[in-house]
Amino acid sequence: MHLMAPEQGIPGTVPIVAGTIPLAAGAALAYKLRGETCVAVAFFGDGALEEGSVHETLNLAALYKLPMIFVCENNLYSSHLHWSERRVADNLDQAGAFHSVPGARVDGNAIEEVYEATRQAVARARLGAGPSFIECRTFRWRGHVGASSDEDVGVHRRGELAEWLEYDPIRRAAEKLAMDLAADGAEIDREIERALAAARRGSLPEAGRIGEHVCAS
Amino acid sequence: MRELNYVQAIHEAHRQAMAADRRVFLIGQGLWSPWYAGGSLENLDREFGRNRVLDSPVSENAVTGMAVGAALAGMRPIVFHPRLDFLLLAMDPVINQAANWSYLFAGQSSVPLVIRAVINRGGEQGAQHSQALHAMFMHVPGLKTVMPATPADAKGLLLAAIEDPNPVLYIDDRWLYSETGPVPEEIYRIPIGEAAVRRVGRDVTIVGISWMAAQALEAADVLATQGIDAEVIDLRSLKPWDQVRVLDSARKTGRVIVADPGWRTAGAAAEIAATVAAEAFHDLHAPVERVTLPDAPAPSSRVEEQAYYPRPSAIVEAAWRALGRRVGAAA
Repeated sequence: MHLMAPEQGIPGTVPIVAGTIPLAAGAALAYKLRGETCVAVAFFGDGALEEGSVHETLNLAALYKLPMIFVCENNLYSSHLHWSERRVADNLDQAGAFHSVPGARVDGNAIEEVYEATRQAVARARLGAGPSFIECRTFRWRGHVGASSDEDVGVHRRGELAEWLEYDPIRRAAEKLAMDLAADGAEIDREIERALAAARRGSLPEAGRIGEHVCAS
Repeated sequence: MRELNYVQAIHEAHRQAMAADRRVFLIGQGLWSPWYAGGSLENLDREFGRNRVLDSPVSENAVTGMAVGAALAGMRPIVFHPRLDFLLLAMDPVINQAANWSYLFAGQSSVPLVIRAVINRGGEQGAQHSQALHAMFMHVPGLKTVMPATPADAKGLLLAAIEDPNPVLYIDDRWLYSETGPVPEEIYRIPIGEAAVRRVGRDVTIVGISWMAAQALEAADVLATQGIDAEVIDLRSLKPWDQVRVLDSARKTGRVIVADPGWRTAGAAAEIAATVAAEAFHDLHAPVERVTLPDAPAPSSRVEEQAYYPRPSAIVEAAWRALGRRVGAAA
């Protein structure tokens, strides 16, 4: 959270559930007004579908034919609540149907399925045909907050974790792409270790800066 | 100088900003309606095209959020809410997103957005279509709030808000729409955070906000006939507000009345009164007076409306109290 990488096309990540979905539609509107070919993508979880703003945004994006993709990473849980404790039907891929936004359900741990659905949605957006909705089925290995699995704080979910750990999207992608995960993975691990070490060496900000950047000048 | 009324001044600011800057666009409810915005946006869709003047469904949350996102993507949106009451449905994009964005990202990014909302009271419209909620927004760091009371400020503050790199809530009051005054023809800005001394006086300071600034001038005329020389300050900006001008005047007159179109408890007037009491305590000759709405929702009956909305006489009586005169006594 609170990460940004404008040079990568990431204007910001913030924690309010569904809060950035209308913002992505606004970026799409900006691209459309300027005649650019960019496509805005909103990433959110299954819990976001329980906020009203996502439904408002689906309608507006369809109405204004915005170049936008709604990507729902459905990991089956919102915090500790299984989808069946929050909804009566497992049908998130149909969330856009009422607003004439086409939906697709893909295996979110299968890179080729995610790629193909995204390719089609980008093509549709660039044709000026409007937004698409993609539900990517996956699972959250870690807990709702922090780096542990939440087993440590007494949230056991439904015992699916072991099964999903076997269904590793990175390992499966490596197989599909004929990558040598042992060799390439070791290099990636070293890069992460270097970044971690650099972060640990870093100093905390000095106190006394409250009030800075409250307003831009 | 040429005279315009308040609504014409708002209209001209929109036209000039849209003509001068391709990044400026309008989105919100009622933009294609001939009457929704009280004439303040009339025919802008015909002049600039409906791609740039987007009438929207009643989806305040997502429409306001879209304006935030477009601002982050390099545009200068104006999102329009024909009632300030409707903005309550958009608190997440206004406060969680727009107001916090610069701070969240250490100033690397900010939201250059104008949120325009209209106070449209009276006419028996009742509790959900009459609210002056400015104090709720004044509370929030990172969000600027302006409330112009004259045609010249209506134009100049809107143009300043459009150019500001931060989210600015611009609140206009339909009761001011027929006010007339000189308005420069060119593009100009009224600095956000600067109050205007409308009348120089020595006996008592009246700080007026929006519609109540106009009422304060009427009250000052009445007070003048009673031998009381009132200074009237039109606050214009609520966040940030001009503490220097208000405190200078408070120290000069020693008596301060704040006339606020909102509710009493935790209102804008309470904040100003507290600051004056803390910063100018030793120069005050009397407690700071507040003229506000009572702590009650707007009534739907015209009889009750007469009692609900304070008139200049309420400011005059507050001045008498501050000067130690018996209310109701002849001057």
